[in-house]
Amino acid sequence: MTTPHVDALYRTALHMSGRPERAEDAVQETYLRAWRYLDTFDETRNPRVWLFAILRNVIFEAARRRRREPVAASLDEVGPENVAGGRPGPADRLADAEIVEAIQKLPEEFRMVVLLAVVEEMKYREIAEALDIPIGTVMSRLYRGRQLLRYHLRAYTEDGGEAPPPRAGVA
Amino acid sequence: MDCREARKQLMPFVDDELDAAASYEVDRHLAACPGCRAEAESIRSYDARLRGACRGEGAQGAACQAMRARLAAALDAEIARSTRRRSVGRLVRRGLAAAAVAVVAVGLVIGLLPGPAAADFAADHVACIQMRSSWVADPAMLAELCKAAAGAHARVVSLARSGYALRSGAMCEIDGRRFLHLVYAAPGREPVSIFVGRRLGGLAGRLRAVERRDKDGQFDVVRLRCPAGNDYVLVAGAGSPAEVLADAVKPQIGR
Repeated sequence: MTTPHVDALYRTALHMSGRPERAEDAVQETYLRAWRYLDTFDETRNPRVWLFAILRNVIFEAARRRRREPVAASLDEVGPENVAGGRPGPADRLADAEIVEAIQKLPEEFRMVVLLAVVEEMKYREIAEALDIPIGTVMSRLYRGRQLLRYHLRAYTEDGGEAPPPRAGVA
Repeated sequence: MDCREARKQLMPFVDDELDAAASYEVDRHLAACPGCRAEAESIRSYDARLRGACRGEGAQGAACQAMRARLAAALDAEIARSTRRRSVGRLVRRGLAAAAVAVVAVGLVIGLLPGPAAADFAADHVACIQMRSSWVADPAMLAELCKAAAGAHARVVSLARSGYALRSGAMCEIDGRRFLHLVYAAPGREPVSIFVGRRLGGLAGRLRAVERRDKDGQFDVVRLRCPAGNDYVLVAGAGSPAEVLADAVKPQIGR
């Protein structure tokens, strides 16, 4: 037996915030809210998706509170044409720390979708429900997030020879 | 299917999001196209490394592992409790028709049985609370726990200060309303149950009666009203959780 929800929530919170103490706070706040609003929970819903929906709010609210300088670039600037792609990457040569660092560089909205889809292996419709966005948006953010992540990782394996992508932000 | 179309479908294909027909088409294209096949492999390869890095290797992963270890003990206990409750529930249901007088009391016991989702949620909740050992001993955190009911968290705080520690927690249901049931224990003392819930409805009336009993010192009950108008309740008393709850509510059931 494992603790699938806590582990998954903590993991996601950790890679969203980059700091263990923030991640632990976010998970506890998520559970605190969950039981506060338990009466509003529809039993037919997937509790995991519901918890991730709460976590998403907790994380983004905390980030907004911390953020002093909003990022100005729009989603459209981070197109696949601006990042490396198409060739198989030397993913096996990468160290975990490099991968973790690279995912921290993704804009928050992309990062969340990549973490939920790739690391937590959630279905697109579950991600759409948890983040309250259309499935099409899940797919486009996942596409761009993966491409951008690959770009950042190539910087480690190819001595950063390519030009950096434009500043990536979320509209 | 040409390469352009295949590339559009590649991520949903790798993520197993395509229906059988579309998946077959992509599969067929990949079999014939080394470039697209390499791209699919590249996506899978990066995904696998990302999963590995985020799930428990390296420095960040070590934090996940440490947290898992802290959760394991709490969860084992919760699983054991859930299993016991289910067994008791089966016996109780068999005896349901035996005595009409007992219907309400039996209903209460059944109400304590968590469904699969509730049990899962409760296990995580317990694990989460115990994840930070300072929670129970930290009056600030306990105050936060009961923030919506300003000023009424004194009982929980005093429990923590007098050496009680959170032993377990579970979701339970009383009259169709859900409560978080926390059991606090201290060495050599009776465990104390605390039920936290909201929107009490008819149950509030029963608990008012319990408040009267509280004056006799048999139970320690605090009923709270938060600013939004929803009732919160903390019920603390000695004895096993089921006994505390049944005894607390029983006086009103017979009326």
